Amino acid sequence: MMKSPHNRQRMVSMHKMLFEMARGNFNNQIPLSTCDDEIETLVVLVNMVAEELKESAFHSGFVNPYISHRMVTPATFILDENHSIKDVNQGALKILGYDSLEMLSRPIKEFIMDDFSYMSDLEKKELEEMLLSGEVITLNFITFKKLIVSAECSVSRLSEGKFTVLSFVAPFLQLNEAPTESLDLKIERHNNFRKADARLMQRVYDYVLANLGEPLPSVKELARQFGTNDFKLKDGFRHFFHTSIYQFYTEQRLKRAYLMIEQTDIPLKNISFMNGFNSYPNFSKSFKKRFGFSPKELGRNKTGDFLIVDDINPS
Amino acid sequence: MSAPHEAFENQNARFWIDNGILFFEYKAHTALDLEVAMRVVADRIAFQNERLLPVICDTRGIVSIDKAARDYLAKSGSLLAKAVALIGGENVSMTMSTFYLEISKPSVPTRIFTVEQEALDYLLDFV
Repeated sequence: MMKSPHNRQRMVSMHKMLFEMARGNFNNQIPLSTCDDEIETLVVLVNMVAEELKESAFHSGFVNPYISHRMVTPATFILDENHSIKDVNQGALKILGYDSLEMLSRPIKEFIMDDFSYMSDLEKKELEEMLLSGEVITLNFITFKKLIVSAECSVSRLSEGKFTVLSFVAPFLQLNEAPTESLDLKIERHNNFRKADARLMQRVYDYVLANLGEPLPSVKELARQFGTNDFKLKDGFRHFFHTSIYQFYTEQRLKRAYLMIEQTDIPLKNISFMNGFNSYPNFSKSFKKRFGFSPKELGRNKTGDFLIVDDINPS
Repeated sequence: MSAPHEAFENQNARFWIDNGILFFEYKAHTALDLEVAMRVVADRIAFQNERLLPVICDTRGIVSIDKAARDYLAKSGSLLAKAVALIGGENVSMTMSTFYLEISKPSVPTRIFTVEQEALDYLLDFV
């Protein structure tokens, strides 16, 4: 199926597209085809992701600093002489996605994709000795979600000689854990807002949009609702959206009201209430300030290019 | 003896009201860009006039949708809509609907269905 020229071509396009995106170029789109298959869903998805990234995150240009954040979590297993898991640390559980109960007392090989069964006992013994003397081995762990975590593992013997320790480190940001100070400082230097602030401000933005028909709560009240303080809220919103919360709220309401006046026969007074204005004069004033003419001056003729199909359905 | 439905259509969509629900259907092969999005929203709210209604929206005729259209629909597309049930088709249609829901985040309650009856059941709460 993958071999058909059309499928092949779509796969090649997707590879090219992903490479362009990795370079910071979000301007391309893959031509759509009329196929409604799994490959086409990926084509559509890659296109939409590129569009979103282009407009949001990388609007003002994208630089790839060619660094990866080093947030490492150590993973440690204590194995008995039969290579069953006697104990495991939190890091390993987090990285692989298991509960401790799911791992304890089980042979480690159940969690590893690599197969050593082809080795003779002698070869296994040799490998073990090599590892204990400091060799590193790449093992492919199987996570709870059946994905692979490939890790450079080292093995050492505990003092009693009976148990061994298998350990590796992986870049893994543990939730609930504050980022390390150095990373924090690095971001601080770039600007005063962190990813968490961006997410919070996005939530506030979405909230305002979803509640345009209601009066806007005070900044204090909004801050309380979103678990932050009013200074951070005001400042953050302006930083990310280049406008104040109230200006944004009013701009959106006026645009909606404009559309409603233009397209419907709803009395102007009702339109002003439907868009969260507490009085018509208030609404009229804001409207005039924004558009340069009053709501009454805006023509109320509907688009008029309807094809009325009432007649198709005679009573 | 069914009552006559009010119905309208423009180049890109047709819509009608039945049992307090607005049925909205994109025509086949619709490439949804900002211009089309603005036209269908304008026509729909003109058609609804003062009525705030739950909307069932058949997206299966959409062949493509760009970001400007998604953003416009997510913001203004929900005007006079109490809730929206999107009817998605197979692979591509479903991917576009899911993306719209998860990433563009429409401002009224919106869910995706593949079966019209389930969509109608969902909207009953909003009639």
